[in-house]
Formats: sequence, structure tokens, C-alpha cells
Amino acid sequence: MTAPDPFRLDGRRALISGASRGIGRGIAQAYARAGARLALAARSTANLEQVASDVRELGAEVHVFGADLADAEAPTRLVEQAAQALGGLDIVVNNAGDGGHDGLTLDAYRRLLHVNLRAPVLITQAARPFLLESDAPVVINVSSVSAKLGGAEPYGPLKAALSSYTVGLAREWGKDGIRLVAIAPGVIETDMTAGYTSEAWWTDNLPDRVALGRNGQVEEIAGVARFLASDAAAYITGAVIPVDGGWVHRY
Amino acid sequence: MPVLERFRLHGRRAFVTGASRGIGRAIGLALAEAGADVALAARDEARLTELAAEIEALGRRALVVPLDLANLEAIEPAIDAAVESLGGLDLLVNNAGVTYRGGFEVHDPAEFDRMFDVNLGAVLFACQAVRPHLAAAGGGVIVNIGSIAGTKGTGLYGASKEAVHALARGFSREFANDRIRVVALAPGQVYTDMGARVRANPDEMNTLLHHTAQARVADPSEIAAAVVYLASPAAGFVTGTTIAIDGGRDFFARR
Repeated sequence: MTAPDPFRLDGRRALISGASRGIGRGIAQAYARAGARLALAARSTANLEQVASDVRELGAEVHVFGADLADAEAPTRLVEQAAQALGGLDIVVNNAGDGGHDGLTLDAYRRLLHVNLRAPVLITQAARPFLLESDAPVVINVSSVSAKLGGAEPYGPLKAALSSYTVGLAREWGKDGIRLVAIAPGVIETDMTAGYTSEAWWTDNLPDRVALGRNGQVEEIAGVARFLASDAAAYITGAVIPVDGGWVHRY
Repeated sequence: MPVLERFRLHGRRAFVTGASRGIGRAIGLALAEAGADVALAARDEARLTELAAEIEALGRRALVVPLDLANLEAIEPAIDAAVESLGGLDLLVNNAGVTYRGGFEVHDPAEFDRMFDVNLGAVLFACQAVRPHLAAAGGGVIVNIGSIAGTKGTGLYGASKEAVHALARGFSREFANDRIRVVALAPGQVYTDMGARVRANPDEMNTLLHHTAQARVADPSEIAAAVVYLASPAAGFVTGTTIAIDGGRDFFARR
């Protein structure tokens, strides 16, 4: 008998928000390959059913939930449904985010505040009782390089808030053995970034902005998310991990 | 220009939010002392009127602007009215802020919204609203009062303040072509009404002082002095950054 692989997630119960597309879908697939049991959430269940069916082909158990996380009641309800379906929770991935495309109206600001910050907070606090029962509890918040870059729109600042929250709460919950980490992706090729990742003004400037000189792929975030959820990362908490190809501006 | 002259704010016109008490009040007074006319915005009209009298006694103009910063739609009209009254604006200090009782949790979504609206939303919309006026004046300065609580990850209040720091960085890029500088200032613990709850809690106070090199609380005037500097031509190359004024807050406790 060989020692257990600390990078595996066999039997771990994971809730992933924003799982119908992009980074969330990638994380669902990576977790499925690692042996996790999944609860996947998204606003529309149409795409989610397709993700679920792909993930089932990898042999994973998966449950899907429709939830508009801008709604104040939805996050708590989602956690309860997911925990019921999986018989508890070990891993919570707050991935759902709204990039904001409506310009700076009051409604746009509010939606961003609710989806990008209030929802992860509500999900995390609702998950706490379940995480306290887990042998390897972890919360992974998907932040953004824009937390560091800042922004004149609420998206980047709200990601900065999410990172601050992650670091601070890790301190509070450390005594309970609950880890909280944030991933700060750079520009990853997804639907959210499709508007500019192939345009010249962006690609021409990539080498100036990103050390690796290219956009990131979903799998490159998903792999880190798998590592951070696993026992291999058991001593990592309160950290914001940049996964951005080296956002190290040329001077 | 002699160096001390570059710290003066002669004839500048400032808009200060949360000006009725604490840090905001000290900022209003300090800007006036340095030579600025000041529009004072807050909910408490009576306190603002008192402060306005003090500022007028310094020989500067003061404008009382009754304003609830949680009412995000009221911000642009209030700024426009101040421009009308003072003949323009050169300086915006986003100081208004509220504490949050929920720590890291949301129990009352309305309270969460209100805290974020004042601490983040009001800053966002005030920056947008003031931009054309600062640009019309040939440039200007925006100082956002954040908090060391943001950098250290202290509850959702801290999260809101970290967002304010990030906002300054973003706006500094966005507004640079209009010769507008945007800076965030992150105070540590300051002797204000807002800090009274912390000061009344010996445990919390002990921890705080233990993690502060100077082992003391700041006077509001120590924050206001930094705002005068940041607002002045002396800080002409300072933008986008967050300046901590925190007596040496650190992860490491003093021995």
C-alpha cells in the first residue's frame, strides 16, 4: 500500500460558484479529476447541466443549483442545499464574479458589490458550521490581479476588498483549522475577458505587462485551485496567490 | 518657490466629506489654515455651522453642505452646488466613513449596504462627480481617507477601506491626463468618536498598542497635516499610492 497522494481530493465535498463557465468550470473539472464530489452553482442552469454532464463522465458525483448571487437570500440557501446534497462541505470556492460592463450606474455598482463581495461573505459564513465538521476545511476566494492594480470602477476595488477579507478572516478562523486563501488571476482567456484578450491594443502590450508575455488559460488557475484545496497546501492560509504570468511592468 | 510656500493652499477650494467631527473636522480646519476655502459636507448641520464659523474666523470662506453620504444620488448635486457657490473646486477629501458592527459577517444586508455605500460608493461617485470641475480648474487633488484596517484585513470595514485604497490607484491612472492626483491615506487608530468603542475595550486597546511602534493613538490633527501636504504642490509627484499614518503598525508585537 502506497502513501496517500496529498494532491488528491478523494471524497472531498466541494461547492463551486460560477461553475457554468470560465475559471469556475475549469475548477470543477480539475476537482472532479482529483476525486472530489461536487456541488456546482450558477445563475443559469442551462450551461451548468452541460458542465455537470462533462464532469460526470470523469466519474465524479455532481449536483447543480441555480442561484442568482446578487439576491441577498440566495447565498445562504445555496450553501444549505449543497451541504444537504453532499452530506457536508470541505471546500468552498467563491468563484462567481461580475466583471461589470454597464458603465458606472448606481445599479451596476450595487450588483458588483453584491455579487463580488456580499455573496462570497454570505456563502463563507453560511458554510462555517459545515466546515467546522470537516477534517480539511478550506475556503478559496477568486480575487483578481485588478485588486493590486486598482480601478476607477468598482470591480478591482471590490476584489481588493475580497482579498482583505480573506486575509483577515484567515486570522480569525485559523484556530478552528479552517484555511482561507485567495487566488488573484491575471488575464485569463474566458468569456469575461473575451472582449479584449485577442485585440491588438491588449496583445501588443502583453510583453510589457506580463512577464510570460501571454494570456493565461483556465487550466492554469484550476491547477492552483486544486493544489490550494488539497492537503499539499495544508500550511497555506491567509495568502493571496497571484497566478498572473508575472504582472511585473517594464520600467 | 521657497519650500514652505509649496505647502500653502492659498485660494484653493476644497470639498470635505464627513467634516462635522473627528478627522474630517480637523482636515477642514487645517485646509483653511493653509489658505483654502472649504465646503463642509456631513449630516449634522449644527456641527458644520459651528465649524464654518471657526473657518470664517480664520478669514476663509466656509460652505455648509448638509449631506447624507449614504444617499449616493445626492452627491453629484451637492458637489455641483459647492462649485456654484465657491466658483470652482480644486480639492476633494473623501473622509466620511462609518464603522461596521458585523465584523466579518453580514447579518443585516441593509447595514452592509449602508456601510459600503458610505465607505466605498460615496467615494466612487464623488470622484466621478468632481472630475470635470477639477479638470476645469486646470487640475486638482483627491485625497481618499482609507484605513490601516484595510491593509491588515480587519473585518468588512477593513475590506471597504482596502477597496478605497484600490480606488485611488485606479483613479490616479484614469484622471492623470486631467492633471488630477488621487491619493489614499491610511490612518491607524485616531482619537475620534469613531474610535471610542475600541478605546473603551482594554483588550482591544492593549493589542492595538502592542502592535504600534509608538504605542499611542494619533490626534486628528496628525492626519489633517498629511492631507495638507498631499493637497499641496509640495506633493506634486505623489499619486495613486496609499500613505500609512499609523504610528508604526506592524504584524510584529513590540517586545
